[in-house]
Amino acid sequence: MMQPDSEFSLQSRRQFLSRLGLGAAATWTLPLFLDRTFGALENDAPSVTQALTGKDSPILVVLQLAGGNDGLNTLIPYSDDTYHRLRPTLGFAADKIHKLDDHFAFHPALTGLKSLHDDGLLTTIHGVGYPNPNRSHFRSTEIWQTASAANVTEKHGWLGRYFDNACKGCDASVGVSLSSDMPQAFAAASPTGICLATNNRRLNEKGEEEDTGGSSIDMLSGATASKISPLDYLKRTSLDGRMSNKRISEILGKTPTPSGFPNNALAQQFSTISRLIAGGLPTRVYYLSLGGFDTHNNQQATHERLMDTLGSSINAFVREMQRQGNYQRVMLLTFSEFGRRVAENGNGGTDHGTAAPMFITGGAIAPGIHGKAPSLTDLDAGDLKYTTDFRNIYATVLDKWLKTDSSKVLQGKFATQDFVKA
Amino acid sequence: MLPQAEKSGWNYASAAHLLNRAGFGAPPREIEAAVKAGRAATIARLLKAPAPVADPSFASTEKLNAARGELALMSPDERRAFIKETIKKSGEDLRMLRGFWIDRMLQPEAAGVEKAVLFWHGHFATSVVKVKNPTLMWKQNQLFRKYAFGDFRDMVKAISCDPAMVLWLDLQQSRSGAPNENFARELMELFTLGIGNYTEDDIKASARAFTGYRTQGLSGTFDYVEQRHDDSEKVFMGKRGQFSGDDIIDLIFAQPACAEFICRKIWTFYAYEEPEPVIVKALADTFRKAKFQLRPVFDEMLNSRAFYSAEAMGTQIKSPVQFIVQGCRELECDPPAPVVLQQTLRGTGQLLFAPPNVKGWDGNRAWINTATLADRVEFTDTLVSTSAKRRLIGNPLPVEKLVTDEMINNSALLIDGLATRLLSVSLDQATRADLIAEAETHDKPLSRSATLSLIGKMLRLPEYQLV
Repeated sequence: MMQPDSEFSLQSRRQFLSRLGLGAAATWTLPLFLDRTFGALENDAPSVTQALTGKDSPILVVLQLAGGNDGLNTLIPYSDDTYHRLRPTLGFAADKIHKLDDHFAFHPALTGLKSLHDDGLLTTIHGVGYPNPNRSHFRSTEIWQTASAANVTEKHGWLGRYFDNACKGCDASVGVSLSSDMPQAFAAASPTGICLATNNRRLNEKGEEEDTGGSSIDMLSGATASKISPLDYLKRTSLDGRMSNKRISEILGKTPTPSGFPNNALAQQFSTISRLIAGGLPTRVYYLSLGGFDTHNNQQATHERLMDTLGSSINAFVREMQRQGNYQRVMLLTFSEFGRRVAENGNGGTDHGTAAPMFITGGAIAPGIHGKAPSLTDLDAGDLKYTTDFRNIYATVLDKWLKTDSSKVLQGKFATQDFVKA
Repeated sequence: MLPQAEKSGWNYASAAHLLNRAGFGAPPREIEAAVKAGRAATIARLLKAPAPVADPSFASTEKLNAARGELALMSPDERRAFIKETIKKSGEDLRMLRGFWIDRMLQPEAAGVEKAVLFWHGHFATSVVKVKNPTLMWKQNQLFRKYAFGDFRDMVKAISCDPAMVLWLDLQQSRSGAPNENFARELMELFTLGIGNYTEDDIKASARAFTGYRTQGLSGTFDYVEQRHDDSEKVFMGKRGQFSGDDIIDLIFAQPACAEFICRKIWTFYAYEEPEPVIVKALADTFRKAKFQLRPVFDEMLNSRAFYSAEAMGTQIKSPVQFIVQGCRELECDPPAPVVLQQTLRGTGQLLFAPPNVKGWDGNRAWINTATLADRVEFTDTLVSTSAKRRLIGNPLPVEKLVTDEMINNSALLIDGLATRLLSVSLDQATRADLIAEAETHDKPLSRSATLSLIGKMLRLPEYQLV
């Protein structure tokens, strides 16, 4: 849906742009070079936007695990003989893992999450998926990003519909993607959200490649769907970039880099988010993505590295939020387009599967393990049967955390769950 | 057969559109020559059979073979050190390779083929991040060149045996008793049929057919290992037999969805998104009649009325590669140094030989967000800059080629002339007036630096992102 005033605002934006773009002193300052140049910024853009989200508004952080995370080696059903039988080489022996109770344990490298779990700062939900699961990366990612049923193709993202419904008139920085891609989850009738790529994009004199862990799936994103013309879309993006750049530059300029974050790209992105939160950027949703989970072969080492990155980064973020006194304001959730098949394949890896666990942390959570673990023997074509529909998770986040009517955003009523405290 | 474009509609704008979309643009002089030569001759030139391209020294197979010979003589420690060194060096090779390919795109005679190679690179999207070996990426690139306008079925069979693809989608590990489904799935989902035109059982069966496909270590030659192949009976698309990989591809091409899938994708890349079903159907009919030869499809598309419709002209957001190469063609300047090129490709979201995933680049609006747009502006700002940093890029812009004496003495002529050269959409009156007013603030004749600054402002216009 277009906003009723969009024609007017585009027109005034055009005039504004025209002035800025052609004015003698105009400087297109660059989000890309923020970290390097924030000290020397020059930006004439008057602040025509305002913070509609105050200092106390809830913040949602969404972390995508792109490629299909092996849920069974993340939240390990170590007491189940079937697990060990179907995972003869990839299965973990009971003495190597972080036990949570008599049945389940975290991957050995998830030390960071185990510590959060022990401190009552983590919710883990079993077997999250959806009916008629699709095993294509792209289609399944689209289903998660748009919160559609498996047999329906929906263009706009679930967060985009949240922006459309609940954040009319907000600064574009109400949604921030920490990558050079706009996630399909942000796709909205009225384009919203900015991309902020601060890491790994500097001129590398050696021409070295970013290593995504030897997998064919990195960041999955989708086409940006909106009804405005390509030219208006360009004008608007150009303006959004300039507007939010000013604010972000100011914040990063005055907020020091926190300590305690490990030295990997994901952790550095979390560090940037911490600074933006500390500095009061009026952002409701931050989005980041960790790629490399498509482990069809030689999974062990790759998955271990990913689990370490995941656990240590989330841990550092949560601790920093606590230190800032902002932990009560944030909620972080992780998702992956699917889990992997129960039985390992013959290549030391796993093929595309279905349901997998989700992690949620933040001030409002009811910590612990929620939901029902899927059976390893009652399978659907070799794959787990989901026990929680992800749209119930989304509904809970929307209704109980972002305080908006989830039925409008999800285009249907999905029952909320109790992992968020009332 | 699609309705053909009218003869009377062939003019500067339509010739520029054709050269932009089926190639990488051209300076006004070449567009005028194309108008004179006519549509048919211009299309024939763009679709000309590709001349073989010699492998550059930094990506030659001989080098790999030599390395293989040396490796055999080394101790395990020497071997490890050698491989480590090779990987380190491959970053440099890769940067050179990106520059080499961009150079090819800049050549007027090669533009049509190289545009198609770019399309196929995005279609069979393979990344060096996993393949690790720039030479194998180049070999795959040569495969796209060979089949650019040729037999699509043969191209699919060739790609199934392509060493980079074998590594990329895990055929390397796939063997009888332990088939890997990665290639089989993407073959149907992304390369030939599209989702919804096969079942999970079809994937499982075809994965068994593609067992035994291997690539030889560093030398990157394809091996078919009989003992690793699953020769047993398979049921695929309702047919039963001891299918090989090539048999599976033949069965896929017997599916009606195949021709439509690829024709829709070609149209989307070259003309516009979401083509009308009647367009897809007409092209698919031609494709099937031509036994999956690609040139007749391209020829029909580029001759069609719809290709020159308002829906098509000036409506596409330039890909980063188009943005860079077309920019250099229109500004008649050298390509930037490989290190700058690579940085720009990365920052604008189309790092060649490293697509984000096997689906390739989404394209169009997905190219543009606040981060990538900033990098585009950074690039054009540097192009017109007179600072020392400009030396990083290469020679300064040849301003004298871009403007006439008349233009630097008349603001309106200057802006209109530059707009003709640089823009695929017309400027609205307000923006045109702003630009002319800006030009008026300078003394006449306009100095070199004032001209560059005005060009820079036009390159910053949102309109400049469209083609």
